[in-house]
Amino acid sequence: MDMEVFICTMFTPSHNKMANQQKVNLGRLLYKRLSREMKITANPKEKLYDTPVFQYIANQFREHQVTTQKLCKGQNEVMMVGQTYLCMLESLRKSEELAQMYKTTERSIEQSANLVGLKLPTVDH
Amino acid sequence: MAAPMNTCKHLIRTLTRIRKPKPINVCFIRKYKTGGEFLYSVQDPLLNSHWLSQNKTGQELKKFYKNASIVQNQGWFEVNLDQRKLRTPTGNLFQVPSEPLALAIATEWNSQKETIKRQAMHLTTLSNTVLDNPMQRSRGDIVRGVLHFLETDTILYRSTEPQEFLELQKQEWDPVLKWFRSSYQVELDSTTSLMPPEIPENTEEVITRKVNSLNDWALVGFQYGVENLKSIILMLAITDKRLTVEKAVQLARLETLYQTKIWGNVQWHHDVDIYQLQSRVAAAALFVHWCSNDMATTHKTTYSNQT
Repeated sequence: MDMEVFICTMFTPSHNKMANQQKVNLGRLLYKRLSREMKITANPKEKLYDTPVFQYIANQFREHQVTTQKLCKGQNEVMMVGQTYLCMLESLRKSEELAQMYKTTERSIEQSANLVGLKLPTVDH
Repeated sequence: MAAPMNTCKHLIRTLTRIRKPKPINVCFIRKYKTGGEFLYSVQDPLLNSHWLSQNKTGQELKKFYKNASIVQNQGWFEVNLDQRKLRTPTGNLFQVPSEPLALAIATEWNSQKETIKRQAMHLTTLSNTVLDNPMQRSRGDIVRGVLHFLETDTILYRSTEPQEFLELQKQEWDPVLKWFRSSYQVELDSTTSLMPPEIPENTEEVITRKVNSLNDWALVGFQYGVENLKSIILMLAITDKRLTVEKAVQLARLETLYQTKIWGNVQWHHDVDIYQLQSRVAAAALFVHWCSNDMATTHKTTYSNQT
């Protein structure tokens, strides 16, 4: 949560002159978090390094080392795409965890009918 | 194709069943289970695959493949599940115009554990919507649908009490509104009444042009994002890389946030809401980014033929 707040403040226009070191650190953190998410969600049999997805991510990081401004849409554009993807993966995982934590079993039709003292009609095949 | 075959089988079965009388209750339940397969979920028409999480007998679909990979075919990217090509719900070939999008979709399929949970696969669902166009929407329909949200945009509606909440709205929403006004050179005022604010013609024109500039694929993603955030301005801020998805979702839920701070947070309701909203909006934002400009090749698609 702190990371997100920190990132938000970093991307306001008044912080245009970001120190290079801070940029590199943010990049490293993003890379670490992305790798962690991919490890959790991906196939455990394969090595993460071999998957085409991971290779794509690694290539993106390599290509955009100098600047992430690819199109005229603002600073750190590619990094924000990476963060958006990270957000999607994390949110899916967390909502799944919450669903597992709070899940209940639904009563069958027969049990619900029994609650009010009714029985199901017999089925005629 | 899978879908017409199933309707034929279903038709034949119901025709032969007519001769044998059955108790009405059971018939109703049976019809709902099998008939429900061919209906798109009423609540969220874009999430058109909730029913595909179950096969004909109503059991959950097991993961029937080991690995999902992508292939390139004439400029389009396809997803292969273990040598078999992925298809859309109506049986069309599943093709996307962008490589990172295809990779992300393959990841979605790869991250399914024992059963297939289609409700977690937002990118797949969005692609299916573009390819199948189940509601038969033209570009004009979608653009109009998006512009409806202009006059009911979340960050334009301020509530006057409590005073603290009014201050919070000014503090959080005004900077975004200011950015929006300056970067698009439009005028748009917030309102404190129940009536929608007056939208100047110029504003409407500029926003229409902006939304129309998206290609067919990006447009569907954009509309999904606007629908979930209930705000065009917030979605534009995301696509212009001015706000992160987490921040935009926070702004969209400002009132709920304020109330939970006072009255307490219910984890299984509020947190689930946050994470679901975040995953959907993030998927929409990624869809828009990966399908526009030079990340994707432009092709003639289903929407271009209609006005």
